[in-house]
Amino acid sequence: MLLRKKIQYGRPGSAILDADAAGMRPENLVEVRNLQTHFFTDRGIVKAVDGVSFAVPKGKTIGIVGESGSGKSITARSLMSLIDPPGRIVSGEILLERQDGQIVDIARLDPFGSEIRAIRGADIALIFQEPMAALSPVHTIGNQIIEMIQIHEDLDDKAARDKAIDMLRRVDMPKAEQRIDAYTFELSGGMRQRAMIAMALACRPRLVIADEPTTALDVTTQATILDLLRELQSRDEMSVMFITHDLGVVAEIADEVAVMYLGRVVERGPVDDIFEQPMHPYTRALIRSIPKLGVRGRHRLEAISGMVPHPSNRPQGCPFHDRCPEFMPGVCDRIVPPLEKIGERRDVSCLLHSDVEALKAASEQETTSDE
Amino acid sequence: MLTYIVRRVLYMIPTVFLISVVAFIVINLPPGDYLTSMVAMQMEEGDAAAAQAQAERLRVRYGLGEPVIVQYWRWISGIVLRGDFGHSFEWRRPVSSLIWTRLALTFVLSLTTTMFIWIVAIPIGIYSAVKQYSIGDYVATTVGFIGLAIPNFLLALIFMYIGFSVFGQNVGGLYSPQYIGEPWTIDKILNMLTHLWIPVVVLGTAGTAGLIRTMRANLLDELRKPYVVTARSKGLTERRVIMKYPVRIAMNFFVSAQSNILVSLISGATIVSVVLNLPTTGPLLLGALMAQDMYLAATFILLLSTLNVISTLISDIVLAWLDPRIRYS
Ligand SMILES: Nc1ncnc2c1ncn2[C@@H]1O[C@H](COP(=O)(O)OP(=O)(O)O)[C@@H](O)[C@H]1O
Ligand code: SF4
Ligand SMILES: [Mg+2]
Repeated sequence: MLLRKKIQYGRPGSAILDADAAGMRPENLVEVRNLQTHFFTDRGIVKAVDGVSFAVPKGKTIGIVGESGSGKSITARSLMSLIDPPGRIVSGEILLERQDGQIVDIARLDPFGSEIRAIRGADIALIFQEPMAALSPVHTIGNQIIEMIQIHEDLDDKAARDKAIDMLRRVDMPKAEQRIDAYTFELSGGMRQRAMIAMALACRPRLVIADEPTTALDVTTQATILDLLRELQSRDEMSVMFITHDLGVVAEIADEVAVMYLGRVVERGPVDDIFEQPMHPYTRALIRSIPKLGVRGRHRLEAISGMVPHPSNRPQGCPFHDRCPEFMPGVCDRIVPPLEKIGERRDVSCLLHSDVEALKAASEQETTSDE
Repeated sequence: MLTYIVRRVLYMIPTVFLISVVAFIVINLPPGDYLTSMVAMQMEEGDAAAAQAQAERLRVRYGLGEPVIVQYWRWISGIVLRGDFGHSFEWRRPVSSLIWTRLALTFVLSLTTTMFIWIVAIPIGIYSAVKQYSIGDYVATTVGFIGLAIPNFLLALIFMYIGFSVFGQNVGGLYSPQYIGEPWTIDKILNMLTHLWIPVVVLGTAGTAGLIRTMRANLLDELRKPYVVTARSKGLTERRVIMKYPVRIAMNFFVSAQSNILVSLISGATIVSVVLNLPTTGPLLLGALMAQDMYLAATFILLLSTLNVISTLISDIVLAWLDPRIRYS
C-alpha cells in the first residue's frame, strides 16, 4: 500500500495540460475518458472499471446508477486516485479543471505525490456510505473536521475550530458548539452523516462525490439528508457526483445521469431524456423496476432477470447480452458496443444504436491485420 | 475518567484480598511442621535451649499450631499494620529483610524487558503491516518465528556463551563478583547495566516476537477499514494517515495484550534467573516452595500477584485513555 515504486500511471507525459490541448468543454468540471481501473489479484485480473466515459458539468449534479458491483465506487475512488493495491488505474484520462483554471489529468498523477494531495479535500471531496465506519471511532468529529481545514487552509486552532462549528451549523447539526466534541458512537446515524458532509464541504470543494450517502439511513433521515445535499449544492454552486443503485433517488436529485453496468457506462444523458426516452435495454429495465408511488416496501415490480456477472468473467461482446431482452444472436455476443453519441450530452452503448455492419467490417479488418 | 479509575482501584481490593487468602492456604496445604524440623536441626547443632526459646517466640507471635484462620489473621494484620511479612525458617531471618532488594531487581528487570519489547516490537510490527509481503516483512516474520520457538533457557545459555567468548564477560549474575554485597554506587549501577542486557534480550525475545505478530495482524485489519480511505481522501500525507488513524487504533489491542505481560515475564524470569544466576525473586521463590518455607513463599506469591493486578490496572487505565468507547461506557 505504501510502495512508492515509480509505476507509470496512465500515459507518459505531463499531468498538467493547457485547456486547448486537453480539449475539455468549458461547461464541464471533470471529464472522464475511457477510464480503466483493474485489480491484479492472484486469481486473475478483475476489470472493475473497464472503459468508463462521462463528464461532470459545473455546478450540477450527475447521478451514477447501476446495480451493486457495477464499478461505481471504484470509479469514484479513481477520481481521487485512491485505489489500493493490487488495483491501479491502467489507462484513460481524468481531466479536472482546478480552481485556478489549470487542467490536470488525475490518472497521470503519482497517488502519493503532493499534487494529488492538494486536490483531495480541496478540489474534490468524498462522502461515504457508512459514516460510522468512515469516521475514526477514537477521534472527535471536531478533531477530524478541523484536521481537514488545517491541511488546506492556514488557520490557527481557534479559527479552524470556529470554522468547523460554522460548518456543522450549515449542515443543521443541532447544538453544534457541543457536538463538535462528540465521538461518532455518541451520535445518531443522521447526525454522523451530517458530520461527514460538514467535513467534506469544509474546504469548499468544487466537486463532492457522494457514494450512496443515504443507503445506511432510515427513510425519513434519507429524505432530510437528500434535501440538505441539494440545498448546499445550489448555495455553493458546487458539482455533485451522486452514486446510488436507486433510480428513484436519481430522479429526485440529478441533472444528468450515467448508467453503469459491469464497469462501463452504458447510457448517459440529461435526467429527463433518460427517464422519458431510455435508449439502452438495461436502462429501460432499471426504470421498469422502480417501485411506483403507492406500492409499499422495497417490492420490485419487475426485477431484471439473471445476475450481474463478476467482472472477472465478463461475457464476450456486449456485457449485458446474457440478460438482455433484445439480444441479437451472432451480433451482441461478438461485438463490443462502442459508446455512440446520439445527441447533445447524450451517449448510449448498444448495438441497436450502432452501425453494426461498419463495426463488423472494422473488427474483421483488425483480425486479418493481426494475422 | 476519574470515576472510572476510582472504580477500578476499588475493585482491586477484594482481588488482592482473595489472592492473599489463596496464597496462604496453598502454602499451608502440605503436611509437616517446618518449625519442628528446624528445632530438631538446630538441636543437632548443639544450642538446644536457644532453639527452643526462639521456636517458642515464633510460635506465639504467628499463632503457629492454632487454626489456619488465626495464622492467616496474624500474618495479614502484621503485614498491614507493621510491615511484618513473617519469618523465613530456612534463612532464619524476617521475610522483609530478604525480599525487597530481590523484588526491586525483579521489577527493574521486568520493566526494562517490557520497554525493550515495546521499543523493538512496535516499529517492526508497523513496518511489517504497512509493507506487507516486502522482504523486510518476511525477515521480521521469520526471525519472529525463531524467537518464539527457542526456549528461554537455551537462549540464555547461548547468550552466556557469546558474552563470555566474545566479550570476555562473566555474564552470570546481575553485576560483577566484586560488587556483591557492596552498597549501591554509580559504578555498581553501571556495572549492572552491562550485565542486564542478556536477561533482557533472553526474556524479551519471545514477547517481542509475539507482539510483532499481534501488532502486524491488528494493523493489517485496521489498514483495510474505510476510515483510512477517508483520511487519505482529505489530502493527508501517507505517514500521517497511518500514524494518526490505524496505528492509533491498533495500539488499543496492543495495550490490552500487555495486561498479563508481567505474569509471563516473571514466570519466564524464574528459569532464566536460575540459569543466569540472577538475584531476582524467581530462584528464591523456587527454593522457598521446595523447602516449604511458608512465610517467604506466601509473601512472594502475594507481592508478585499484587504487582500483576496493578499492571492490569495500569493497562486498563491506558486503554480507557486511548479509547473513548471504553471511557464512556
Ligand atoms: N480490492 C479489490 N480487489 C479485487 N476486486 C475488487 C476490489 N475492490 C473492488 N473489486 C471489484 O470491483 C467491482 C466493482 O466494485 P464497486 O466499484 O465497489 O461496485 P459498486 O460500488 O458499483 O457496487 C466488484 O465486482 C468488486 O468485486
Ligand atoms: S448490444 Fe445487444 S445485448 Fe447489448 S444491450 Fe444492446 S441489444 Fe442488448
Ligand atoms: Mg459501492
